[in-house]
Amino acid sequence: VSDCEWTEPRLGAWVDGELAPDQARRVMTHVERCAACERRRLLLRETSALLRGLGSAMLAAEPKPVAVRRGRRLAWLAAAALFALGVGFAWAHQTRVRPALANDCAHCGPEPFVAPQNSGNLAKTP
Amino acid sequence: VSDRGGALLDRIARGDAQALAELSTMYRARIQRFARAYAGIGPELADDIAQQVLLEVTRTAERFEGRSRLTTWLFGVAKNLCRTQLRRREDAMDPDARVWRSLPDPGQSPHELFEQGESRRAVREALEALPAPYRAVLVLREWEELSYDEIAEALGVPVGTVRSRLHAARALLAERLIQILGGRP
Repeated sequence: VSDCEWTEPRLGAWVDGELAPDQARRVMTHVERCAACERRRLLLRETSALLRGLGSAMLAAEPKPVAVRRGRRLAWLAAAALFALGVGFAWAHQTRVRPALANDCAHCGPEPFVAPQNSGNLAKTP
Repeated sequence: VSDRGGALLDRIARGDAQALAELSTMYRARIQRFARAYAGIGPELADDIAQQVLLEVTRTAERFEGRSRLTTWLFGVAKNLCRTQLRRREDAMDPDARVWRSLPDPGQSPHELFEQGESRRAVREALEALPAPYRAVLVLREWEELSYDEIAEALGVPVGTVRSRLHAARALLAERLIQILGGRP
């Protein structure tokens, strides 16, 4: 494998700072004296700059949350309100009911709080 | 990119409505952008996905264990939701079949070929031409500045796959950009 063949697949990771130090040194040494790989490095940099420019433009052009359709905004607000109500209810329930339960049975003590297990699978899906 | 995820999610788990608004301000447009680029969908559908992601994270905020950044978690959820959209499209190419594609040695660089009015359209066109798994790693790296480890975690693939897909994605993107900006078919 020539130095160019070894270096070329690692150029991106080198530019990203994701190479191990010994490999990074080898890439840098090669790029400093190889015009073709230096051009490839510049190509990577320019391509990255263009892509980042597109990303910034897209972000600037995305509708702000206040500009979304009324129905969707209401759905979002309703979900947030329901969530807040749920948390508030659970808090109130805990603070008022649990001490009473603890006092009802001197042997058992308060019931341990068990978090619900039947939601949130989506976030765990690989 | 700041990532004060743990504190924000703690507040959300306690029902702090202001924290929900902050989460939306910080991430909604970014997730929408990711969804557009990764799933190749329009802004409205992408915004629906962004809202679903935020609701999902809100619903499960109390389970966030802080082992990963909030950003990584959010984009992992977004990726799963986007895949439903992707399944409806033709994207059957094996993303790793072209992993070792080489960067072109450019006679002219994209910058030299660059013309202000055309560049954005060209970059968008070149990005859309990439296979979806390549688009995902590329935009998480270039737009979200996630590390390779974080991209791997968000997408559920090994770090080596992230590395090789990024290399191939950049090579294909550069090649396509040179073609488009140089006026070649």
